[in-house]
Amino acid sequence: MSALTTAPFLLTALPLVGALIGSALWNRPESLRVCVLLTTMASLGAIGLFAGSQPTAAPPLLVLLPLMAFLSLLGQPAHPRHRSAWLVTLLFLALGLGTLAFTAPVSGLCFLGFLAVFGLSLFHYRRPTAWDAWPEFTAITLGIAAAAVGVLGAPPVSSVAWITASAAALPLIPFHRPYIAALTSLPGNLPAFLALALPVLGFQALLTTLPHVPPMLFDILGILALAGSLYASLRALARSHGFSGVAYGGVALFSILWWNVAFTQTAVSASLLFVCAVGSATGGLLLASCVLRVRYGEIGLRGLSGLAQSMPRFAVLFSLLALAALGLPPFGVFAGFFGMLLAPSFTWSGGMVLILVAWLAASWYGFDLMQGILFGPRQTERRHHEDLRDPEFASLALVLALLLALGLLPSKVFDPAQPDRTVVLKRPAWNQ
Amino acid sequence: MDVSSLLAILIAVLPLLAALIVLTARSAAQLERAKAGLWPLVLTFVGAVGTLVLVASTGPISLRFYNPSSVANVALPVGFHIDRLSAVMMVLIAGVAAIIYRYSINYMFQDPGYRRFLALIGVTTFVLLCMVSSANLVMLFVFWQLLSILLALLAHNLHHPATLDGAFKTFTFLRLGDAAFLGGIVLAHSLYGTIEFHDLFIRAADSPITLSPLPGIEISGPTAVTLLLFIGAMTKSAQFPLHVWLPRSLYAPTPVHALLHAGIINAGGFLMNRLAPLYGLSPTTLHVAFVIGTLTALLGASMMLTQNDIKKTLGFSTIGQMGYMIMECGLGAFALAVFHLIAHGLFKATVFLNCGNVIHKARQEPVFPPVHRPADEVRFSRLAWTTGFFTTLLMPLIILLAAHGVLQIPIIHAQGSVIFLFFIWVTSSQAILTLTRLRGLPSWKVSAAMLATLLFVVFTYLFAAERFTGFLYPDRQEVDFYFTAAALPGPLFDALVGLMALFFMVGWIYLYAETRGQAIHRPSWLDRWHAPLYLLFVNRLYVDRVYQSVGQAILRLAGRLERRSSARLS
Repeated sequence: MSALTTAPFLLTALPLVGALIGSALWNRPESLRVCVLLTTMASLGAIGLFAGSQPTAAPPLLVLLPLMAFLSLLGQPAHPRHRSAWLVTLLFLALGLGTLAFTAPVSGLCFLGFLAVFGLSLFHYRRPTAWDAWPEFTAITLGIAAAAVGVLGAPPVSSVAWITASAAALPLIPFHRPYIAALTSLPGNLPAFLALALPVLGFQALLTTLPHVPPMLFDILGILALAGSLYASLRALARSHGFSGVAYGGVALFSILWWNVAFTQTAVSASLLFVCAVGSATGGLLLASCVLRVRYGEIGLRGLSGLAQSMPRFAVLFSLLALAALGLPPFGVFAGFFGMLLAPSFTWSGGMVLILVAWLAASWYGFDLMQGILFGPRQTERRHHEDLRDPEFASLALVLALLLALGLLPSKVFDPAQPDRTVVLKRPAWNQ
Repeated sequence: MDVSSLLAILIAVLPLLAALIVLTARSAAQLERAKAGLWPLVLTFVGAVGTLVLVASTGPISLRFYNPSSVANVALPVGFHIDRLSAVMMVLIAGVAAIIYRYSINYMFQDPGYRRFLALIGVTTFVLLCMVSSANLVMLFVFWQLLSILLALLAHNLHHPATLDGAFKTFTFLRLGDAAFLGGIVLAHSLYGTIEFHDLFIRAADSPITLSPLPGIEISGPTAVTLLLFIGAMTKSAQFPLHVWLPRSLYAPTPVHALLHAGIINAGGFLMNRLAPLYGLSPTTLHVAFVIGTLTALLGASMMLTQNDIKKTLGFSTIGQMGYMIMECGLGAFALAVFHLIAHGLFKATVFLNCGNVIHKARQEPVFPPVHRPADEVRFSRLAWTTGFFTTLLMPLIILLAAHGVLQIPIIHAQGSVIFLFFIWVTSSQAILTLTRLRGLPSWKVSAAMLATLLFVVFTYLFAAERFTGFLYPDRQEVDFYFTAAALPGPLFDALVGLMALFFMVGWIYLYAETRGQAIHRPSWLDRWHAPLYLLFVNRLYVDRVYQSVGQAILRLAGRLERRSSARLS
């Protein structure tokens, strides 16, 4: 059996084995945490080992999933409350790597499994009074059903189904609620990990079905994306809680990606870079939010201010993460966004104005978030808490380094098979 | 890699070294490290001067770390292109930054954010140097954006709410310009398929493209691109109505203002100069720039007169001066705009750096309540008024004839030069007017000295500006092309100049009569309008409040959306 055929199996099996061993360590949270961390590192090592075997997805995607799982777990305190989240992370990792490493139809089945576990997690971790959460359950149920149709059906029905399933993972209004719920209500490291994993897998599903999507559907997707970018930007502006603000910011940025894909009817390598960067930045901000939640509990970010003085290490990393998330260079979000707009397949259109508004809004709420938490009067009534512990510092700093690498590495890394293309003078359709 | 390329990299990197030196210092040794950090900046200045000499003698330095024909790494195409414009800007930036850094070593000592502040000056200098030496539009934009955030960070005071509010507004406004700039780059790339300056200019000139954004509205490709880019320039150079961030940032430390007013705010003028060949293809954008610049100059100066705070007064003075700069670009006098921004930058840096000293001294000196003093008697001085009359009416004619005949400057045919001359006239008569009102011309010796000085200054300025234009744009045809592109319709131009001349002369006549104690008819509506106008300008035309209302309306809409969503779910 060649490396090409064994690699997907091994990549999927490794996290599952780790989860099994971890469940045996259930009563020893510290050992369980180490086991889960080692499993994610082993997955990374296995991807490195099989780097030359040309898996179906681009190597950065395969690397990013275990890397983000590792980073999200690294800063977590060894608390019994987080055990189930760690094991579910490994389950998500196994199904995620399966989605990326296998070819169809196994890939589709893995994605279906991922969505199913995601749906179950949302249901399991719902808040006691959260029966009002029917929109996210409806959306994720639709997503799971659509993925099942996608696996079983044939184009064009399967294409529409795959797009729907993608929209539940790579958030597109009106299917964005599961993504919001994942980032705001799941415990432990899951929000930070899923902030990257969901969009990456959704994008992978979108890529596989893109050539078969009916042209009319692109128009609908474009309109939804434009409306979604504005709606999500407004919701992010009105954030009453930091987690939902960050989550809606993610939806706004991913809507830009949806618009780009719908408008150009193709996905360039910069789109992939954009997905990874926005996912990483959102994940990084959620990790930072976890740090605050560990110290201050569920008080809402509006209740915090002046942390730059009491937590200087946190302040530096958080501010850089916020700047990366709002799209400043030299971080990956900017590189991806800019790369998409300068791709030869892109031409200027009226929708670009709305996209620029959404981009501008990101600066507004991103800077507001950073300024609100770090600066202003210090909350003297709050007990002084220690600055970042070393593992927390390492996890945030590595996310930042990842974002920097995504921004500085040429987008060619994301598309190694693609030769250098010379830009050809192309006139837009509305040009006379 | 040759010596000139190494020099280009070194100049850009040295300010970062300064930042690193000061940032890694322990608290006990921060003063020594701060002093050590000055040397890289001094070396940067020396290197910039050397580069200017090198570029002037051997031609531009070009260095690219990417393949211009590939889109694979288009998001961060790092490269340097240092021509005469870049080199001049580098000398200005490096020089001002070194002086400001040296000033800050003492001025900011014992401030809790001492090291952070000095390091940020180093980083800002690095960003500015990279911006002006960018090899392409994207790299310029990358550093342009970094400048936005650095400016907001420099203006930050961790605890002062007004400063935080100012920093937030500064960043938001600058990002508005960034978004428009981004749109301009994307449109330019979409139409012409390149991010390289040279290729962009050639393709834009060679391929006439007309766009129709709305039914019945047609716009040329270069106009659409340059209008978007111009919005970016407007925000950075604080042009009306996007100027509100500048007065808002005045709570920042004094050295920040010096750096801002001498270096950062010039970014708009630099951008227009860098893209002059593209702007030259769009008379519409140049006319828009002329209108915006003129409005900014007039309103900025008017608002300056009504402010009661020294920093705000200086801030609005800068806004007015930036208006002149953009107006000069709008007239096609691109090199003059650079000349202006250098002169203004040096002047304003000096004023701001001295500003702290004045405030410090004022605080140390005891201040007594003002005693009642009788108003000065208004006396009429024939000598003063003769001098004023001569300056106002005859000097422009002498300059016009002398410049045209002696200096060989083709001043009569170029509208830009006429406007330049016109503003020399306005400025000099304004100076005389001020002196007259202060009764500062008691003797013929002072009058003669005043006139001689003015003539000397004006001729030197004119001569220097002309030589500078020749240095920056050696090709005379290129200069003429810009002037021609920016030319307003003849009757309109004549009417504008005539109207303004009439306005000034009426002002003179009115003051003359009033000083002599002669009764002069003044329409009653003029008196009625006086107080409301003063109120309008003292409140900065309520532009801040309009923006605040728009921001609050957006937030209310967002809040309503949030509440509706919560109510639906509960």
